[in-house]
Amino acid sequence: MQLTVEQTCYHCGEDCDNASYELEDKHFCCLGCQTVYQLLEENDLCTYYDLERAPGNQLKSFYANKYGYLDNQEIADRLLDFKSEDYHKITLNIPSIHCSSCIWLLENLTRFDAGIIQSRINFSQKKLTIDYMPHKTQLPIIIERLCQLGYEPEITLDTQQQGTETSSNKDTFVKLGISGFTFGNIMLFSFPEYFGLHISSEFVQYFGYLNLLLSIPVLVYCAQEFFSSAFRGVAKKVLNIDLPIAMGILAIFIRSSYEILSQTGAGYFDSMAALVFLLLIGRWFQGQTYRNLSFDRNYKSYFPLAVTLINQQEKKSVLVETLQAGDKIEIRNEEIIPCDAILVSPSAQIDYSFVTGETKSIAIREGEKIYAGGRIKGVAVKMNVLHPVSQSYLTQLWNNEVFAKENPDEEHLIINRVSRYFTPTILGLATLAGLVWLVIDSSQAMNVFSSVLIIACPCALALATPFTLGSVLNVLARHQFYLKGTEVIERIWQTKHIIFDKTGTITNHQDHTINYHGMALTAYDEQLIASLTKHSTHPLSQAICAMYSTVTAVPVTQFEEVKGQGLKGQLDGHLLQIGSASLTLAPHTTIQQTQVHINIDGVYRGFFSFENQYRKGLKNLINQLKAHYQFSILSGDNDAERTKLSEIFPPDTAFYFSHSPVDKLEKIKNLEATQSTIMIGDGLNDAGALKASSVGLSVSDNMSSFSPASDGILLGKRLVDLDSFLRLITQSRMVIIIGFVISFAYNIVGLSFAVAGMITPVFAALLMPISSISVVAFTTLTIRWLGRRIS
Amino acid sequence: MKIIIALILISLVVALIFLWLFVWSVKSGQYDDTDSPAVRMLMDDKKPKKD
Repeated sequence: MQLTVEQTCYHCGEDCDNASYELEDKHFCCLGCQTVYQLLEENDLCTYYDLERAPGNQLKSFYANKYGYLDNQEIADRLLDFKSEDYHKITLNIPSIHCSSCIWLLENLTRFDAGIIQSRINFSQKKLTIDYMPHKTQLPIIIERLCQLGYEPEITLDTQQQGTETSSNKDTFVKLGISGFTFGNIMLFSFPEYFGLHISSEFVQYFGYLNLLLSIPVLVYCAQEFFSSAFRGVAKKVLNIDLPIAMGILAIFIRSSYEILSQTGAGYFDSMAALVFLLLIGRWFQGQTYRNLSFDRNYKSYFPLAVTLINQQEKKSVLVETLQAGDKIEIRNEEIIPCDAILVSPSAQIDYSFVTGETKSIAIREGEKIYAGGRIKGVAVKMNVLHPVSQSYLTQLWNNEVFAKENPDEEHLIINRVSRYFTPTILGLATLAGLVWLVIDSSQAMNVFSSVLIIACPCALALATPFTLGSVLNVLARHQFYLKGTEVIERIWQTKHIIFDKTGTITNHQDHTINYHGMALTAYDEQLIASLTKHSTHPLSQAICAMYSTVTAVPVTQFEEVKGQGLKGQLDGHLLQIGSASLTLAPHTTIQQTQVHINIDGVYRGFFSFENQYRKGLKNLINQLKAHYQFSILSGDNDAERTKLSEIFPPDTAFYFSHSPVDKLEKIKNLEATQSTIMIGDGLNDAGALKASSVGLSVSDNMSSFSPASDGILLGKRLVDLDSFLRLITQSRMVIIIGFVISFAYNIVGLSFAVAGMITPVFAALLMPISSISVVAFTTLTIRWLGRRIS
Repeated sequence: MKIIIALILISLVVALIFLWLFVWSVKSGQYDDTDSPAVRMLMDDKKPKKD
């Protein structure tokens, strides 16, 4: 028995399975990690490893001169925040910033590059601001350095939205501060009234004026959004919840001002300030967002910003959006094709996995059509542009009308369905009570009318939804399920049908099951195969090699990697050919899985088939969900997996295979006509389907990687917990309804006093916070308790 | 008792100053990033050279 010690990478903390990268006493999982370590050591930056354990990021595929286009002044100018002759400033989005070591390293960039004056991180927004001297260093150099360190920035040209978001956030804080301040001070000045202290009327009057003065900013500034929302509602003929709130605030203000100016009472300004303060807290709690996640990406974030344009023997970088039909462009290894084109070079290998999810790369010959979204493998190729970027086959998806729909109508929100009945009831009750009192004691009529409006002001009612749903968002985020906002939860309540994408969503990108078919292999054959595949970096070779990790390697005397075909090698006197069917003289097969064929000494032996593995726990998940949901599978792949899928999914599941991105979009649109659906997908090819469904969730194996525009982002390994997430979301609806019942109970008590004309400022000042706080406490605590049951 | 009126006015003025400070701190972006300054202050400016 061989004793193996579990080693983890000193740089990134991943398991070092069978890799043997060692330096001094440190182990590394891959060459990339080791290189970063050496780079840091050379520059005396190893404090990086002292601050946190294994802080590094695994290196993503990165190729030389990827950012060369930043030399183009026009492009650089759009990215720079500030530019003068000897001073440039740029802000970059770096999703892989995650710990204090990152802060330390990235703020010490000056040690790598003397041209950098200063680098500053904004951790919560994952942004890095670099000030540099353009005559000493260049933007492409800085960015390539960042990539080498594992901090690849996300460079897009549409970053303008970010600024407005933070300024509205600031507004919320200022409003909260002011309303909290006035609430506290008005309460202080109202103490004599609360305790029934008999102080000279001169004081009462003086406090009254102060309260009036303090409450003016609350009315005109802090409560502004309730008034504007109420107006908007009335204009659209929707009785939203802000209408009774606005009426209540206005009633309090008019009545209290009258009482104070006519010196007939102390007014209810404390209740008004408390009301606005609590409601603003509710808004803030509900509005918390994950600023570091982007839910609104479109194809532009996937495509390169610029490509190399060939213009009469001259090459230059141009922005992809300026490409015209007929332009000749060059696309290099690993670059993504931004638009439909015709190949001019003799041949090209293209990986469409980005679009279709299929991992096999496709060979294209001169004169054939290439679609946007493919990734070039191998040598650089030239092509003629067929359509501009926005009119390409793939990007046309974004011209579909589903991408234009924004802001679903407020009518369907649960709170507005309640307020549709609540508002007329309260208005009717106030008028009725006023009229009755007009008969009994006409001097009290106006008082009673306004008291009803004040007491009925639905503070607790309005807080039940934001606090329940806000807590649900928090609980889900703790389990790595990030929703765009609370309205997504309300839409999930309506859904009865879940549609899954196959590749990358319910299957795992990394894991394959490898099966061998054909003439049996001897132990010696296996030894040969393992020895040859060891020398290749192709993922399929590595997967085969990993399968035979225990055999001892035979020296390879001759080795050749045939691009897009496979491997050829001479070992121990045998000629080995591993790879595609054509290379290994394999008989023609109709099986459409990914296959690697084996030919030893000119004799075809058989092939390895690679099957995607379904995520662990998928069957259990489907069993849990099938009582409440119907399923469909919507895949871009062929139907090779149909039998396997029908074992996992219940018999009434609909399967749709070989659907293009546009087909997927249309399919969802058809389904949406009759019912609300949840679409779960991962790739760019699902973007249209995700948008067309009521709720689109994108699955991502790495939070910092790209995911298409969606309503929520779910970490891949958490997909199997979807049932418990959906259960919590369903339960939250019940919690809100109970919250409504509690606040109605308070309202009935308050209203019966108001109708009887027995309301005092103290009573109002107590009832409002008590009812609100008990509803908030009930809803948040219940959700937290329910959330604890998620494993 | 008249002094109370003066005292309350003074306290209100002090409170308003703090409110103004709060508003100023929000507007000047001090709450934009609450994580990195907390870490940054613990970092040494220069690591002593290894022998």
